Amino acid sequence: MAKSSISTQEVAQVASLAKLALEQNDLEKYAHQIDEILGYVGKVNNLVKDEHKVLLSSPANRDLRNVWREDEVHPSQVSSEDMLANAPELEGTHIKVPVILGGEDE
Amino acid sequence: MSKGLTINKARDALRSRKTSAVELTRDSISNIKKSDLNAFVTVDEKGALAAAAAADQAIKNSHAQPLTGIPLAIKDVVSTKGLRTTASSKILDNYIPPFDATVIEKLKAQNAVILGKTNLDEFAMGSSTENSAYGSTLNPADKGRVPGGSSGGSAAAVAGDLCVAALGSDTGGSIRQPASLCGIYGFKPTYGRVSRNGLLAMASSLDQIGPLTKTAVDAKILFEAISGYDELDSTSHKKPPVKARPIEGLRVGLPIEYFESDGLDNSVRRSVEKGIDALKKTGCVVKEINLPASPFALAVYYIIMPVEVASNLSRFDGIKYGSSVMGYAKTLQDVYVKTRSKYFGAEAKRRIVLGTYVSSAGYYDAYYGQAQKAREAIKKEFERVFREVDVIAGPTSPTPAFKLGEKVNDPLQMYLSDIYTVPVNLAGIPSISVPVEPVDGLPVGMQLTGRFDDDATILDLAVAYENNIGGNRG
Repeated sequence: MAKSSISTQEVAQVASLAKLALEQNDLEKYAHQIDEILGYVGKVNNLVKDEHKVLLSSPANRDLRNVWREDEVHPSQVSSEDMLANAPELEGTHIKVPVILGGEDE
Repeated sequence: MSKGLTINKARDALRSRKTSAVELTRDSISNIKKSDLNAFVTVDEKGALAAAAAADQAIKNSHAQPLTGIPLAIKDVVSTKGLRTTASSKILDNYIPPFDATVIEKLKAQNAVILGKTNLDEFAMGSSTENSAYGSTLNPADKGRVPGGSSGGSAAAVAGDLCVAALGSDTGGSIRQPASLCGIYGFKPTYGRVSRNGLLAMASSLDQIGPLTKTAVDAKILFEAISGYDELDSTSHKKPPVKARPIEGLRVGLPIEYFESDGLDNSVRRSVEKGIDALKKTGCVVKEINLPASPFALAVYYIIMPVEVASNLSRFDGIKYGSSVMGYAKTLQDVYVKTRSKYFGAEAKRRIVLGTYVSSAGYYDAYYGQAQKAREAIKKEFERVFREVDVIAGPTSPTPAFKLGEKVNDPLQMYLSDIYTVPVNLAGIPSISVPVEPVDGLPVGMQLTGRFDDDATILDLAVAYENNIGGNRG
């Protein structure tokens, strides 16, 4: 059975992996809510176990295949000018971003 | 716009010159402006009137197609070139797509009129449209209640006669559940039948675009207009659709697990049973079936979907488009974290954290790996049942529309309103919600689900049902 309790520290850690910073009261709220959701979703293990094993072992009869295509260049309907129009900051035809290394958060 | 105006009726009125597309469009825009439903995030009056004028010209030149001049609403998660597309999120508050989604190209090719973009739960995450950054949409049947979600704006716009028909998207019930709660038809096509190119992705193995309409006939017309192979969507089907089976003698299965589940409202059960009686009169044969894996589907869904959400929403980083703290942040990392933390809403953050957690190194096997196995079991169970029956019928949602604010602080309770719709998305099969007898004035829906790729049969069955109850007067 999956572990179904998550601490505020774990929520903060997972959030930071997903590039989110959460406020303390949100951390507590999410920990409680996610704990409840994890308790509920943990029941998938019961399906995969015991009496439903037979469903997993029966062969699938599907006419589905992975789709491949040639790696060929096609002209785009969208101009690079239109694509860049939504960028927050531009320098010429380049998207401008702050320093990647050496900042105080690194 | 006249009450209950359908695609069929509008088309007849346009072709016989009883009205013009410009007139229909003006009526719709005026209804939208007067409405207090908050069904739209953006109304494109100028664009709609220009499209209507072009449609009138096409009709005059005898170039009318099924949707020429028909005023439609589009869920604000489908990209429209030059028209703001927000996903009802502050993170896309200023986003103007540089291209049209394939479904929009198809509608424009027919000179359909796009009135504007409808409200939804942020990034289509929710069952009430209360998770929108632009306020809740109200249910036209009772303005103290939710319209369902996430395509709540589209459902309310159709039911409230603000448009003739609408497009929505369905990842776990987001077309069918609001259709049920608003008393209209809502169709989720087979996975791969309608291109998702240009749909802002939520959970890519589940998402599907489909119609919300006032009649089953309209659902069929709109589906035929938007479906078809598209090389820009790698999950699109090349195989031609299968032909519809005759309704006479069609075998309809009633899952015991759905009708006996604890959460099912008694009055909803009785309404759906009456709907089944109407179904029998179309000539189909009803039998009880078992779907023992189905009650696990919601648990499977709430592992697989958030993992895909966490991945899909990682693209919103404040660098290339959308809202950004750029200019106020010192480092790249800072731009990412501050942009996402400031502009994503609570449900988006909750699902990103949940999805990241259940797919992280220590928990992947226990949650995500198990959920993938369970998903396969659910698919195989449908395949087994579809050897015995042609269609599965049951309730769309366990309750009628709930009150605004009732479930907003209890995510798990909110999730349970999709308990009958999510198994369908996990299996990728087609499913339509049709209205049955309301309960105390509140609409109720019955869900008809078909085999993979058998969209035609359930649409035909919905049309036969509608004719039987005298619903299609268009």
